[in-house]
Amino acid sequence: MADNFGIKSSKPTYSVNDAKDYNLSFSSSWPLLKIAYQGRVTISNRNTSQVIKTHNLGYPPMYLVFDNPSGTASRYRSYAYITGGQFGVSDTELKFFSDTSTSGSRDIYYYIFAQPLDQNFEADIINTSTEDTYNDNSDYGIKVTKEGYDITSTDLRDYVIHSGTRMPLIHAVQSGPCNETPGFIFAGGYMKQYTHGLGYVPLAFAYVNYGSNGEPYYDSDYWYAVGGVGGPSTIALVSQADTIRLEDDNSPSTVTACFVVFKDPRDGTQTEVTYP
Amino acid sequence: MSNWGMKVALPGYDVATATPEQCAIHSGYPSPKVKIDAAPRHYGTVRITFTGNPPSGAETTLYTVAHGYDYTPMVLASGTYANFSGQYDGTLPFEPTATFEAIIETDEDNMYIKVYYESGFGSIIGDTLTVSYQIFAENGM
Repeated sequence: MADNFGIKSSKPTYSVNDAKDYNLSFSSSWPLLKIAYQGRVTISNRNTSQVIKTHNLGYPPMYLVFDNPSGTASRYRSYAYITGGQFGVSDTELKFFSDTSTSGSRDIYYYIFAQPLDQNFEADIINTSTEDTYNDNSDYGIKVTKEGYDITSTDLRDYVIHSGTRMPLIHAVQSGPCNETPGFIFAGGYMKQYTHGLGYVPLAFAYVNYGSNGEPYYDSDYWYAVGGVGGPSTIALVSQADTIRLEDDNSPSTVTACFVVFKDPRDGTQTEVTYP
Repeated sequence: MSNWGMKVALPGYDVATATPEQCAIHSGYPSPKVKIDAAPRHYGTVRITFTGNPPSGAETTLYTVAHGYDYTPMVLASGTYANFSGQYDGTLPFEPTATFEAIIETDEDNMYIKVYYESGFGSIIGDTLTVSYQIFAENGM
């Protein structure tokens, strides 16, 4: 933080005075993930490319796409890929790019966030203390409803913010060229790596713009989500305790990647399961 | 939208002129929310150890959480798959090897951690899959 002022609120039972960054429900030192648009859309024919949402935000925003392969189920698509095509986002729209391999309809649910992929941000790491102070403050906090909704609502969807919940805290948005030598997964190709220094494996997402190498299937004006190791492409997104990196076994020279990293560690309470 | 609300600018920006992306909080732009006091918990980490191979060529449910909503919520997860050759991290769904794909899914009743397994690429007995999940109140479908 540039100056010693601002606003922050801790999650229930944590003292706001010494809560770790990720135990704050929000802080003015970093942005919450903010929803600009959301909605359910039916792609009537996957053989045809189509605009999902015209957002006109003026920058390529972070987005998420959930697929509905059967009935009412929902699956996040880490590659923004469904059978039949790929989703991409530009300064003006979220679009489905058909690979013309599959016909038929498919319902999807999308989120477009007020978070540019082409503008870098990095929050300070303010508190990494090993112990938080317990504070029975569950009856206190800040909540703001959406316009037209009652502040006593029990439906969390009615709220803009609610300090009694976990809300995604953005630690960093890092965008830039992929011009580093790949690491352990691919021997060739390109890589981009970012050292976040959080000390834990955070929730993270990555997006790629292929630039002039994008044509024709990947339009050069669009950014495409990429996911974990493997998937329908040869791209690998590896999120680790201090770094996040993106590797690809291809070697286009104009690829730009963007990481969105959250102050959100894996929960310390681990449930052990054996299969079968 | 009416001429009222709340916004908090990020460091370096004037709150009077800050655009939504220059704000830490903006009441015109809601944030996704995870319920903290839900039972069973709406966030957590599960480590699954494979003592046998799942059926080949099919999806198998490994872990289920009843979320209690009457609609299909959004869920996000990251994971680590560890086998004899190393450790692979990423955001689900991901395919750490040619052997299987780790999948996260919700419907109107439950959240599911699933795996799609192909026996032709070898056994996964002794391997572990660790998944950290968050079930949001917001719609996933």
